[in-house]
Amino acid sequence: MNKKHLHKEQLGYEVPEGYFESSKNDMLRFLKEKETKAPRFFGTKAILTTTALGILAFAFLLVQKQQLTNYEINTFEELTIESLEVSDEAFDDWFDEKFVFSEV
Amino acid sequence: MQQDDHIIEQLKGKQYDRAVKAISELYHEMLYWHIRKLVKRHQDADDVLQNTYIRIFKGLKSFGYRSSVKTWCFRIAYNESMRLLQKQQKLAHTNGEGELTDHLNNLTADPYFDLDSVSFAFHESLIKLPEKQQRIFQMKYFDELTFDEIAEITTWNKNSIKTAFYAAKEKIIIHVKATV
Repeated sequence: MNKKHLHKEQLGYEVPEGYFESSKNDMLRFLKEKETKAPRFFGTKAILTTTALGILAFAFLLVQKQQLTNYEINTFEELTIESLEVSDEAFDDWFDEKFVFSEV
Repeated sequence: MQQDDHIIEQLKGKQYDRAVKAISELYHEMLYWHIRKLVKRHQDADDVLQNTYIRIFKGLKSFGYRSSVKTWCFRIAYNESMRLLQKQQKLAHTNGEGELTDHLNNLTADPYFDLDSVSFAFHESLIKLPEKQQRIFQMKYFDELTFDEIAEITTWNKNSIKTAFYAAKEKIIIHVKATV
């Protein structure tokens, strides 16, 4: 008596028609697909790490930009105050030196 | 054992694809029935069989050659089945359901269980056995595993397996004789 009949007659267990052949092929195909699937470069951990690094980089750039703006404001204020001490005749030269040429 | 030798040769040659194919050729049906008797329902057995294949495939690279390939595969199948049963028991416990070991309730819900074809006295005596005796008896009687193999698969003591098997056999004979 083969296994299939033994299990059916003594335990009442049945399987769908053609189950063994199809399931064997399915399992092997499944394993093959699993193996040939390209390894995922970005796993969940990698995605989280990249996102966290991106946020940090963005925050860093934002702080730097803010600092640069503050520096520009401070410099402009200093120059404006300094300009009060410059005479009207010397102002054009002073303006060229401090604003025009300094940005070139 | 000679069949195992062929698989071992492939493993030594790192031909894992071929090895798993050879395993499926030799043990696919046996593994299914081994699992089915433990988890009872066809759909569960199919799921466990798939997980078993994944574990076999992953584990082949680190196969230690300490046991036969057959025993090793059966042990994986056994452990996977136990994992499913534990999960089901936990779930039943959370849902406040009764004992999941109610064999027939579980079986009759399975479309691939045919109660009419069963030798009723035999089946009745089998389901009345304690879980451990039932498993051992089925492994020996249906799967035709040796006591050594059963001990390796279940990690139970060989002598206690023998005792449990003969006790189970005795109970079944008495029950069947009394019923027929």
